[in-house]
Amino acid sequence: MSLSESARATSAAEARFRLQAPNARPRRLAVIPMDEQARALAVGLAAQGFAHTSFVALSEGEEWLAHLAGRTRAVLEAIEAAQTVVLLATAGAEAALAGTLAEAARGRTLIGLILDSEGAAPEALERSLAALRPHAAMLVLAEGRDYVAAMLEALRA
Amino acid sequence: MLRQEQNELATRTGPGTAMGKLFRSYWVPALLAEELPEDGGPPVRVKLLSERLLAWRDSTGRYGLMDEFCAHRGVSLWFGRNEEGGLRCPYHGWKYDVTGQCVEVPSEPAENGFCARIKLAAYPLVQVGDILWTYMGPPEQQPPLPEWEFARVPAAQTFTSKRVQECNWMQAMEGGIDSSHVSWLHRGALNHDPLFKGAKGNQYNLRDAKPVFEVVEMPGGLYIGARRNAEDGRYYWRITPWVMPSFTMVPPRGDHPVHGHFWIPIDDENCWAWSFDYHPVRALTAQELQHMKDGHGIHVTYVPGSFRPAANKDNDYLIDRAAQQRGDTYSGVAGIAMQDASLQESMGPIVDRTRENLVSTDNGIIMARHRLLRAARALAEKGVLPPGREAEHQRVRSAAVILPPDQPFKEAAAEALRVREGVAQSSV
Repeated sequence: MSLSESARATSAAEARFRLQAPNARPRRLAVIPMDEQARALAVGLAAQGFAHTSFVALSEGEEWLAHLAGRTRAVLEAIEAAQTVVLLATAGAEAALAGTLAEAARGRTLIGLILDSEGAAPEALERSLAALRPHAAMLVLAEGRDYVAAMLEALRA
Repeated sequence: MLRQEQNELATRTGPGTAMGKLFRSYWVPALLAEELPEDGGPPVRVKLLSERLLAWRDSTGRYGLMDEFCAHRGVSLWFGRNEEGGLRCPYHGWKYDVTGQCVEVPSEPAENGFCARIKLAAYPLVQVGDILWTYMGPPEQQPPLPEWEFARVPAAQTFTSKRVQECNWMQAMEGGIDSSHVSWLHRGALNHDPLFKGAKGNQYNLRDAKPVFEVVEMPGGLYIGARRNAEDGRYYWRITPWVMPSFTMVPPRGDHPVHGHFWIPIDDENCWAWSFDYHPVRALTAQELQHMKDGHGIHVTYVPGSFRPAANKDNDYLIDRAAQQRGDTYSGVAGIAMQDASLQESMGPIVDRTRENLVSTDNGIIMARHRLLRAARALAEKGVLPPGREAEHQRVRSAAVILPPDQPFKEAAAEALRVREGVAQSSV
C-alpha cells in the first residue's frame, strides 16, 4: 500500500528536507521596569546579552519613574524601535505609569510581567494587577523572578 | 523557541534521560482497566517511556507490568500462558509472577536456586478509577496514589478513553495549554458538538474571538486564564490548570461533563493522548456516554481492534475540503481531537523548536517548558523531587466564572479551582 501524503510528509526521513533558511527577521523588545526591584533585575538581565532587547532606564537609579518627564525621549525611542514592550513589575508595585507607557506603546504588543506573586499580600497583587491588566495583551504572574530570562529567550530577545 | 539542547532535554524520555527521570517520578496512566478485564486473561503489550513492557492480570487477580521479554532467550512473553499465578514462556516453560520474579525453570532442579536469581524488571500496576496506573521510578521515592478527581469519583460519573498520537508527547501536550488556538481551529464545535453546545458561556466565546490571556504560576504548575467581556463591566474567565508533568483540564461549559487530558510518552516519537470526561456530582447520562463512545467532544472513533484513531495520517485524516470551504470545520478535519492531532503530527515526529517564532499569547507554553526544564534539571542534578506529585497539587479543577474586573482570578476563583466533594464544577 502506498503511503498517504500525510504519512509520507510527517516521517522522520522527510524532516531532513525542511528548509533551514531563516523564517523571520529579528524582533526587538523593550523591557521597562516599573519599580526598583524590577529595575535591579533588569540590570542583571541586560548583562546576559539579550541582543534584541532594550532595557530602559537602567542607569537612572531608583525613582527613575518619578522623573519620567525628563527622560521621555529615551523611553519613546526604545518603545518605537520595539515590536513588543514588556512592563516588568514586582508584586505590589504601583505601576502608576503603566497607562502612559501603554499609550506610547499603542500598536505594539504589551506584556505585563508581575514577579514574586507567590506569597504576596492580596492587596499588593491587586494593586499591580489593576495597573497593568487594562493595558496588557498578555499578563503573567510568576512566583519568582527566573521566568523573565526564560521568556525573553523564548521570544528570541 | 528552545535551543536544540533544551529541545532534546524536553522531548527525550527514555531510561537515563533527565525528562525520563522526571516522568518516572509520577504515577502515570498505563492502560485502561478494561484492557485487562479478567483474571488469567491474555497479556497486553505496553510501551511507555521507551520501555517495552507487558501488562497482565494473573489467575488470582493481581496486576503486573514487567519487561516484555523472557530472561532466557529473549522471547516476547506476550505469547505466554497465563496460568496458576504466573505467566509461563511458551518456548521453554520459564514462569514469572507479577513482580517479574521467575518462579519456575523446568530444566533446572528446583533446589539449586537458579530461578530465584532470575527477575525481570517490573513496576507496580494499580487501578484507580477506570485506569491502571504505574510508577516507573525508584521504589523508595514512590508517591501516594493518584488523587485526580476524574479518577476518584464513582464509576458512573466518569469516562476515559485513550488514543495513539504519532508525535512527541510535548508538542501534543502544548496544544492543551495553547488556549489561543481554540477560537480558530475548534470554532465550529461550540455550535455543533453535543458535549459542548447550549452553554451560556458559549455566547461569550462566539462574540469575542480575541480573548486576553493571563498566565499565573502555581505550586503544581500553572493556570491559563482566558478573559472575555461579560455584562456590567465584569469578565468571563475560562481557566485551564496545567499540572506537572502533563495534565490539563478544559474549562467546563454549562452542565456538560468536564474534560481533560494526560499526554504520556510511548517513545520519543509517539504518545498516548488520554482523554477523560466526568461530572463531579452526577452520573453521566446514557446519551452523554454514547456521545463519548461515538467520538464526540474530545474523544475519537478507532481503527477496529486498536487505539489508533479512524482518521489518521494514513488516510490524510479524512480531510474534507468542501466542509472546510463551507466553514463546517476550520481545517477540514472533523472532531476536536483529530483537529489537534492532525496539526501536531504535521509538525513531524519531534518538532524543531529552534525555528519557532513564539508570540505573547504563547506565554503559557513558555512557562510550562520553563517549569519542566527547571524541574528536570533539579531532579537530575540535585535529586529534587518535582511538583505535581502531591495530592494537593492534583486536586484541582478547571473553571468558567464571571468575576469583577479588578481581581486576580487565582484568588477570586480559588474555591472554583479546587476539588470540593459533593459540589458541582463552576461553570457558565
